[in-house]
Amino acid sequence: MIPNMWEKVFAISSVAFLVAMALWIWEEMMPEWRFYQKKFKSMAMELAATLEEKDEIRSEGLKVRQIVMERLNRVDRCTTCHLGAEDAKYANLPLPFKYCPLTETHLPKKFGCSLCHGGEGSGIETKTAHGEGSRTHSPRLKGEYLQASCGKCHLEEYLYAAPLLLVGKRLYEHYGCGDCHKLYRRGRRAGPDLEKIASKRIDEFEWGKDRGEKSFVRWIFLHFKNPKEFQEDSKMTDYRMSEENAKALTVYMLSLTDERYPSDYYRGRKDEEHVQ
Amino acid sequence: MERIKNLLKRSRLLYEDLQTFLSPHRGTKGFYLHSLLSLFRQGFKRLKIVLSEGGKKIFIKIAASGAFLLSMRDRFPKMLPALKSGELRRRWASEVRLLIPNIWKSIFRHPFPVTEKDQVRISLNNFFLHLHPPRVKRHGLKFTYTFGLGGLSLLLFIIETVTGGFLMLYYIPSTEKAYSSYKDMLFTASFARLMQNLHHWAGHGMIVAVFLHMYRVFYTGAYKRPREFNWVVGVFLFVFTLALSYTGYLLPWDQLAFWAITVGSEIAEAAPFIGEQVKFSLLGGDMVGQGALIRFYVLHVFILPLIAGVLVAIHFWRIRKDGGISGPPLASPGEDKKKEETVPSFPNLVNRELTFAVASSAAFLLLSYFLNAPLEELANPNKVPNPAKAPWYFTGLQEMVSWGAPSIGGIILPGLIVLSLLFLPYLDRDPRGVGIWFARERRPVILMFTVVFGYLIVVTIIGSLFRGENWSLVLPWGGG
Repeated sequence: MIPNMWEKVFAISSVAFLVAMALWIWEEMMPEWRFYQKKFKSMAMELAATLEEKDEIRSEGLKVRQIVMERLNRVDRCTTCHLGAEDAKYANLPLPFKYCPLTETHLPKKFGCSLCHGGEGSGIETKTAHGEGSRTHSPRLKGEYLQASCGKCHLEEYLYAAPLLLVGKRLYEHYGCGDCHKLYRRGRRAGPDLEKIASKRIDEFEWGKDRGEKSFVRWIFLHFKNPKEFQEDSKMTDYRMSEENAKALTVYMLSLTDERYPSDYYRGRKDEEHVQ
Repeated sequence: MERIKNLLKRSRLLYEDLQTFLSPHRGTKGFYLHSLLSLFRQGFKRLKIVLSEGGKKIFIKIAASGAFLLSMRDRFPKMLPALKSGELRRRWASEVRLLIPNIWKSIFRHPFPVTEKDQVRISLNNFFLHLHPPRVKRHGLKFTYTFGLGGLSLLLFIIETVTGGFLMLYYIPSTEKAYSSYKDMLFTASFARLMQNLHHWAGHGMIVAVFLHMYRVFYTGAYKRPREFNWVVGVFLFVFTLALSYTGYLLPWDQLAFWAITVGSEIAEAAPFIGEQVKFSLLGGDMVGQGALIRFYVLHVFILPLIAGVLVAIHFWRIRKDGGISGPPLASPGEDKKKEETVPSFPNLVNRELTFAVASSAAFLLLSYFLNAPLEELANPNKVPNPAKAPWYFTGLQEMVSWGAPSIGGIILPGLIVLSLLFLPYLDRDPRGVGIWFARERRPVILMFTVVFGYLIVVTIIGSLFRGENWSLVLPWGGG
């Protein structure tokens, strides 16, 4: 029997249907965190010294892990892949299993991960969680720029643990940024208000003809280096900043978000603008 | 303990042997010994024992396995004659052979129809098929006549209901939790991405399908007598589809949702005399907030689907009662000729419907796999996006509102269009040209309809693609 047109279409679309279902089921069955958790298990087994420890590691099932910060009404699922983040035993493991030394002073229950590191804390896919997906809106802070997050709570003038932030704050005074920009209740209004600058959306910035990576850090950094980078008629003064100075100022700018926390999260001088 | 010892003795494994074998591990809690213990005694072949935890448990495991195997050894000779003679096999085979017809009969009440008489009868006897008439016209069966658009709309409506039910399990309609519950669902719930994307794309697809279905029915003159009322039901379904989509638009509570609904409600506000009241009762307040969210939620998940579902049922029922799908009158009336020009719905129509449903489902599943529904950041009443746009099917109205005289472009003109659609079959009563695409006899009506809807499509395209910051004209590919 020669199949007619409809039978051929039926055969093809049935195959397409099965392929589509298989794709979806494959995605559900094989989330990437399973891979990381298995890898971590084998690494942790090698590190474990006693039988009891091995026993404990083996009995742990594969599952999504989360830190719930009830007071902030947020949840971080970073530990689903970053399994060693809270345990000093894993200080020598490579990323993503490495221990985060700051968890000793900044209790994960209180601060979580994304409060400092940025990113989409509730996500469990690398791309989403790191804020690089198409539907994410808080990028992750990388490398030295991580110091910016200290400035979200630490309002001390001299925070030596975060040198770039400290320098950035000094440079803000040095260049006289307040002559044009308003920050909290000080400064003038000639330039944009900087109070919540780090919470601005990427597409709120003027990108001009730029075709490079659209990221907040890159925009601010290049804007300091050369104010005319993105906008020919920018009114911003060109200070011919060095790389280091531009970086330090970028770090300071990155600390100026619209996030507000309960008052006991803050250290140093407290402005009412800061407290939730 | 005594029983275990006995069992072990029966299996001729020396109790003392096991004792010495296990003694180095005695007392350690939770040791794991993965070992194979092979027993070649007593007739059984290989007994695989995985030793775990304390010594006591191992004994029991061995004992249990030993006891089971021993009992099997005792039972087996009794079953042997039945197996050898093939009686057992025959008994099971007949059970299996009867199982499938029994289940079939309990569900369908009739065998698979092969003769034409049975095929006609099945449409009357089967609940799932009784939507179809017993026979359909060959003309109506042509794919290029209907393009399956009505069926596609129904399929998408069903997909929306199923995926919507899933989303309701996780979604919380409060301004504080809506966005995070939507996002949390996406990140953690199984198949949430599938359900969200499918709900999104099938929803937009349904609007397109309903639009095209209306165009098809118009251009083939299918709304004419005796199908006037079904056209009216269809117009209401079209309005309810737009309303369903519009109310669903707000629920993710992101920037896109918030501002699209704000702009949409501003169009409603343009209504003359009662504009403000309309907006207030739509939003449950002066601006989009908790009141609007809960209103839109209840409308979206309960009231509108209920009404639309009832209308869909009426719509389909009327197709049958109005003499099946439209088409030119049969060439020669009379019982014999009628049979030549028609074929049984089963399997001719049913097969095509099934094929089209599978093909469109596959298309939407694949589309949802590769294309994510948009999700912007949390709704923020203080951050106005520029430009703030209504949902795409309302950007035409927004475009007309932007020209000034908002009450004309936003309310009166679209209202008049819907009203004239409702009265169209009662005004255009010429019975010629039914069942033919772009019939010559209907030229003036077709021209009028094409101008009006062509205009609507053009302003919609301008509004959604060619409008940029401050509603200025831009090119969609980024230049000028």
